[in-house]
Amino acid sequence: MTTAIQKLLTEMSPSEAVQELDLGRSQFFDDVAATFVRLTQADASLVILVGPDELHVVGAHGGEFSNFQRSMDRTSAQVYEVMSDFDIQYPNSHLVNGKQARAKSAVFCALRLNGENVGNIVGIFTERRTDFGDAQDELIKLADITSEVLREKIAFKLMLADVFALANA
Amino acid sequence: MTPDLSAILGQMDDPQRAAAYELERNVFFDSIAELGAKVVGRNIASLYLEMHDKNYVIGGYNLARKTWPLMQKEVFRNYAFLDVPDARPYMEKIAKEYGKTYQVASMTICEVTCFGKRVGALGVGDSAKVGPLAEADKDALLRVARMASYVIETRSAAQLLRQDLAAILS
Repeated sequence: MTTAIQKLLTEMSPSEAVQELDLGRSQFFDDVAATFVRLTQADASLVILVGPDELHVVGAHGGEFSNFQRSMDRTSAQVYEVMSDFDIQYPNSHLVNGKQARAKSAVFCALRLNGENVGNIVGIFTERRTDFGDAQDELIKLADITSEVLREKIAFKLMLADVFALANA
Repeated sequence: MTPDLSAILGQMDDPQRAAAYELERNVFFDSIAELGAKVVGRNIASLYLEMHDKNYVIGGYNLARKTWPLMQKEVFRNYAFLDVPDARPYMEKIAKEYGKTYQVASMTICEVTCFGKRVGALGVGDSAKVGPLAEADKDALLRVARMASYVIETRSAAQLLRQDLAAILS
């Protein structure tokens, strides 16, 4: 990650960064979430960027998820982590069957920029699960692809700002 | 920028030019190709750009090739999504006509686009398994192909922007 990106991410609030860096909800992240569901057989999946107080949902599949207060949820700093002692309700979020989203197990893969955890892809399970098969390698690869796209997207947006600044100078 | 980018990639006809847009074989594109194969339970994948005389591989899974010769163009380049449940007759035809032998029993090809214009494809196949993809498999593969399209768009747009930036600075 370039120094400029690091600087921006630390100086901006997460909501500003999401807006300024064009990191809102997108088809790409929805596709990532759908692929995650496919690989894990989760009930739903979401792609989140982690801020100090809030978790920003930029992609989802299997339900509608709004942003969360960070205290409502847990995130993982591990590259890959399974949590089976979960029991969290998402009051403003519903699964495709209309039921309120409630996770009893979750699998997390980290999104990383320059080694730093900036978000997660999360698969949530409405039943308690401990075994996710042998999908771990694919899940980590999917997270790596997503991280790289995130990096490229941010770099592009920053370069665009530079071009406009120079053109107007 | 969008129409220019689409035109440039649509006319891309040599590997050096593709490399200039950071579209060449690397582990990142290999991962996307592998993901395409894994989500549908196949064991071969190729993510490639279609050039006028060849297919230029930018990502592969269980695939050492850097290019594919242009074969059966009327079939393989004409459909946004093409499922070939039994590819063995095609492979026999290719062996006869082109002298190339490939161990592919079934295959599915999804086009990869840049701002709506076809620039290549994600092809997945299996060395032994014969049969069509299920509807859910089709959706899963289309998603991975769309992700590949997104990456190609972003990389190409960034390269064009770098050129603009260089022009402004000079």
